[in-house]
Amino acid sequence: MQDDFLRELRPTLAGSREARARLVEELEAHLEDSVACEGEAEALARLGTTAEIAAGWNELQRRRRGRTRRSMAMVSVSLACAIALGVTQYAAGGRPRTPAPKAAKHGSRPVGVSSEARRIAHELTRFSHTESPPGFAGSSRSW
Amino acid sequence: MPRGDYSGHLDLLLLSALQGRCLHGYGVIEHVRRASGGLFDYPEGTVYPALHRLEDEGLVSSHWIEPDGGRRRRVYELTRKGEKALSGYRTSWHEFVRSMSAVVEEA
Repeated sequence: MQDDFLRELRPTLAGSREARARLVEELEAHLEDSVACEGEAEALARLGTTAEIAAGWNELQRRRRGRTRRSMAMVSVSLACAIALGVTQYAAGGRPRTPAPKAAKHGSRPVGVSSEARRIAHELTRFSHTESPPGFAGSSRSW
Repeated sequence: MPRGDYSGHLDLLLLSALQGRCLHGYGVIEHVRRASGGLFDYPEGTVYPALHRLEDEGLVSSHWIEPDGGRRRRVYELTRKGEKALSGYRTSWHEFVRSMSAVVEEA
């Protein structure tokens, strides 16, 4: 009777193989104790129907799936945000913020330096020929 | 009391049964049944999904024990979080009983 009960129960259970195996093993141990105390018929009657057990179990599995989906969604959104941020930063950093320096007029353009260094060099060159450097009186440009 | 009328209190009953004890499922059910004088007589198989759920919520933890020559059993015990939750449930329960008593006895 116990084997029949468990055989009937198994296909009605949702969830991972490990989770289902654990539940069935716990029920087997439970029945072993229960049968020793109360006899098989009473033990099975107390255990409830397969439908009652499956209903509680499958509801738990549904919650677990929902939680897993929410976690996956959170990871996906975080990953998408990180990628978007990275692309934005890359695009901003990889493109010069100012026009190319007029270095040709004063000499050769710096080679092998970063775009930021080139920008600073350009700004200094421009200020030295046109106006006071930033922070000095008369300069309205923010650095 | 008809079966199911106390189902909302299952978590409180299970956590109370596990307080200060390490029990397998059958032990938990037996404790609840004995302590309630046989009133709380759940379909025993439905207690296992509830224990698994409490474990998912971090309120209980479990592990296998293997008695010599016997079938291994999964035993459950309260976690620290479970003890805190139990304390909260108990407070709510006592407030509920006090309020109900006040109304019922006044009537």
